[in-house]
Amino acid sequence: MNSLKKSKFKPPSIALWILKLFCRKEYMEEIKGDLQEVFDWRVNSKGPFKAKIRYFLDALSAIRFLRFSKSDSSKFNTAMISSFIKSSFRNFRRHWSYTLLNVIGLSLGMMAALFILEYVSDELSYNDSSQADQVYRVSNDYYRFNKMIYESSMTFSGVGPAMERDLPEVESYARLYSASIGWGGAMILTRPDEPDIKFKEDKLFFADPNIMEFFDLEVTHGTNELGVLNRIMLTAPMAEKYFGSVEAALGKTLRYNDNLTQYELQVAGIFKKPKFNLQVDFDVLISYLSREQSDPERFQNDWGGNAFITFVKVMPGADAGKLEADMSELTLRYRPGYAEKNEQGEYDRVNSYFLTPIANIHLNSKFQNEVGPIGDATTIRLLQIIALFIVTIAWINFINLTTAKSVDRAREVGVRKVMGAKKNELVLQFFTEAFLVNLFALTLAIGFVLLGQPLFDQFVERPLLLKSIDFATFGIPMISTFLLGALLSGLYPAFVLSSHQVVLALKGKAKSTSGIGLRRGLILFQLLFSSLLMIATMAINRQLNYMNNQDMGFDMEQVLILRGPVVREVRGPENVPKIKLFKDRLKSMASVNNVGTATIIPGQGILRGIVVSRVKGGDPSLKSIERVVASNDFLSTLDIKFSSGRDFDESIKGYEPIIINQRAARELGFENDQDAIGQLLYEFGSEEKRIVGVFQDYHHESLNRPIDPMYFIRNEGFDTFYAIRLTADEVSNTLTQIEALYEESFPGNPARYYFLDQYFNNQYKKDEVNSKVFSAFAIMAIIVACLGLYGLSSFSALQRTKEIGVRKVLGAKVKGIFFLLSREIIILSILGFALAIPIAYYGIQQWLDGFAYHINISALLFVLPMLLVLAVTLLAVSQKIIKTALMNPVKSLRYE
Amino acid sequence: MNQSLGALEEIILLLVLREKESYGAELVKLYVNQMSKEITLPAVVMVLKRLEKKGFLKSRVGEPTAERGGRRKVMYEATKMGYRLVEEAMNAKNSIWDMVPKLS
Repeated sequence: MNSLKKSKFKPPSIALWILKLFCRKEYMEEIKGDLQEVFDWRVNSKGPFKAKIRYFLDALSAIRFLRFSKSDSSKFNTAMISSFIKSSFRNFRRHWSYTLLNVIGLSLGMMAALFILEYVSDELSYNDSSQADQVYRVSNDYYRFNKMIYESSMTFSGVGPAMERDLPEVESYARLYSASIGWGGAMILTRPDEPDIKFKEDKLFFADPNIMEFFDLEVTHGTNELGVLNRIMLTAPMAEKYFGSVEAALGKTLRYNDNLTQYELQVAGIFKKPKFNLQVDFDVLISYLSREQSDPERFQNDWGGNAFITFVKVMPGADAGKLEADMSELTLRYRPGYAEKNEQGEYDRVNSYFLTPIANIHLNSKFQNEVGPIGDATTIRLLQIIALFIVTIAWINFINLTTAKSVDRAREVGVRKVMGAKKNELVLQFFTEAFLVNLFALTLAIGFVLLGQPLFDQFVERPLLLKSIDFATFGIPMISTFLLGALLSGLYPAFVLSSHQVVLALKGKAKSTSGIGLRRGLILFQLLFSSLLMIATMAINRQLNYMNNQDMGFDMEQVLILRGPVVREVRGPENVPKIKLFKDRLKSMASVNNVGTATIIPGQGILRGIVVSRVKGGDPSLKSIERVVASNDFLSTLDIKFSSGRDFDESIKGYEPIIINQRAARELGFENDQDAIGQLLYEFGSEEKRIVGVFQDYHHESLNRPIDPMYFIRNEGFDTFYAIRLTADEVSNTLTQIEALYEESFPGNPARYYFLDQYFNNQYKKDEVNSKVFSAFAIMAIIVACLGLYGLSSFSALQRTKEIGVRKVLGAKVKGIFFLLSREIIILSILGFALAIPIAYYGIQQWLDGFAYHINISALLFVLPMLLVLAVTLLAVSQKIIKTALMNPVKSLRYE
Repeated sequence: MNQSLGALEEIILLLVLREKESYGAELVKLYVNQMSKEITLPAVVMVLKRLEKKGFLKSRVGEPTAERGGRRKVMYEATKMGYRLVEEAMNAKNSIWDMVPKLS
């Protein structure tokens, strides 16, 4: 009966393997037999599943036998291991230069990988809250007549409450609102008792109380009173900024000001920001209720203004897709106008909502009005691949150098074998060496990372949150990668080295032909990868260069942008004389050429949310278009060129003038720019404007995006931004004067300004950082690869010393010998490069497609890196080769 | 040499004393049946080896059998010293147990 059961169920093989690992040889037969018997018995009494689990546990528990081994002569004996280590060190000392080469190459590779790991995990850690699997961000698109009018990362104030109220799967919601987003208006906090203590705050939001829960914010002092009217919560640094200390801040009052409102707020508590990065970064939170109470129409249940960053927490396992669909239905209830259908039975106006898991926002956002820094998932994936490849290149170096060296050590292996060393003991010896080299390299790499941390932070232009030295986060992946690397890089050399034939090895006749194909393949891989990185770096740099030097269609040099005032004594049209006075006084300054005001400046992400029509109230020619409110001199200050018509000026009276760009003229159906002049346009379908000018298209946004239709309307009362064109001289002096004048004209407002070209080029910051990171790691990869080539070439030159001597005696020229020795590497690098071309071509094309305006892929992109790779590899291999080729044949013939 | 017995050692020794000789797998089965709780085989073998080292058991290599996949078993037999030690321990326990008032 037993034998029948036995054939049916076998103990798990992995358990047998574990058993083998732990159990001493002497006990093996007894234990295995007993275990088999117990297993069969358990299969009968408890069933096969339980029997297998128990068998597994039995195998694991055999670990107790390891303790025995100390006094016995097993192969894991410490004396043996210390002997391995000792002879490893002797070997290192004998071949110190080659060991050094290995350690440096490996540590450079590991350092690069650690830095990349750090950068990548920082990018991945946005919104990594404990609630991340249940909290979504709500965004919405708006369509009219089947045309997309806008897509927005922010939605309406009514959406969050409606979702909680009407959708059972939604547990709770939280909104964030900031007056400075979109409008560019600033927010000022003041201590009423000390009016001098006032600052503009950008990281300030009106927030619903749940925000604390959604983003793991910790209230360290006081309580979370974001649900209470007129309460404010601060981070500790903020509290210190205003009140000197955290304790002093609690219960105190702060006054809040923006373009529209003023509140007196009581400090209810201090919160600590989480360990991960926040996509929407804030230091100050004010209870949303305060805002809602003062303007319920806009802030409570509005379905038109999309200025609210909205988060919802759903039940575990709720289907986001279903919620999105439900939301679109729900809109019909709250916006009755949306239920109207056209003749075809389709809705005229459609709002579609999207739920994005909060952790996905940073790397996958497509929104122009996304708040906070936007990363790029592709770059992150590429960097991960690069990290892996750089380390692989370093490991390949180690493998190549060690196997090439195997000839040198053949005699040692022979002697060891004669003295009775078994093959697996030799393998262990070489493993020990590989492990030690890897260990040194890792230690060195960690040292490099620790030392280089500040430099690297500077390099990527922000302090990284997570340090790769942080063992809790990186310990396990680091150690497992390290062990895997040591194993992989040690495995092949260990077997090659230990498999020498005793007799041949002792005679010194062992040839290094074994594994030469593999070595070539590995070198090919290194060169292929280096070439790829080189070409990519080249392409990225050229594209960036192109973008920076492209004519934008307006003059952004020497233009100072000054943010308009927040605290005003009067509101609305009464501001106009004050603004005019300020502008006139600015213009009277010798170093100021021109001044204009506008609601939006170039370089700001725009929303294209406005509709205009050529027919009053008519629908067919409705366009989505960008609208800027500007003063008379704004366009001339930026030196925007007109193709037809004229700029705004004071002589235009009696009607509302409008200026459009050429793109808008085409989309509105004017064939020539002149045709548009004098024509009427209707803003929002009804407000009449007359076109007075058409200006040449300029790049309002970065070259990543196409030029969109846009128009300017005139209003002297909107001074969100002052654009001031300066003459070239005495800039710093002028700035002080402007600052003084501003604070005199608009008391209570700290002046904030920057230069337009800097602001505009900030759009390329992300690409620039990526390009820098790419270039740096490309260079790193090439250095590591060259280290390996250098070692390999010097070794093979050494090996052929005698051959070269003979050749020289027979009349070979130095040049000929040089080519003989470097031929292989030249062929390999050309081959590697040829293989890299199609891959690189495809990759670059994909990348360039993301830019509306980009360079063309030309042969130059490939030729230059090719020459560079060739030059660098030749440089790496030539030094030793030339030395060997020049050697006196008498000396080289005596070699060996 | 340590002449005292741990709780598990005592039970295993008792189980060995039950017959002339015994082996690991059998002891596991007996232990599981008698004590109605699980034990891993290496734990039992470990105890056997320790008892052997202390001189309470002696072992011999048995014949290979088919039901063990042709592997030899190691048979353990209690020594005189082992018997005495268990006897002492049991006597001591019994005499203490006699002092305990019995529940009706």
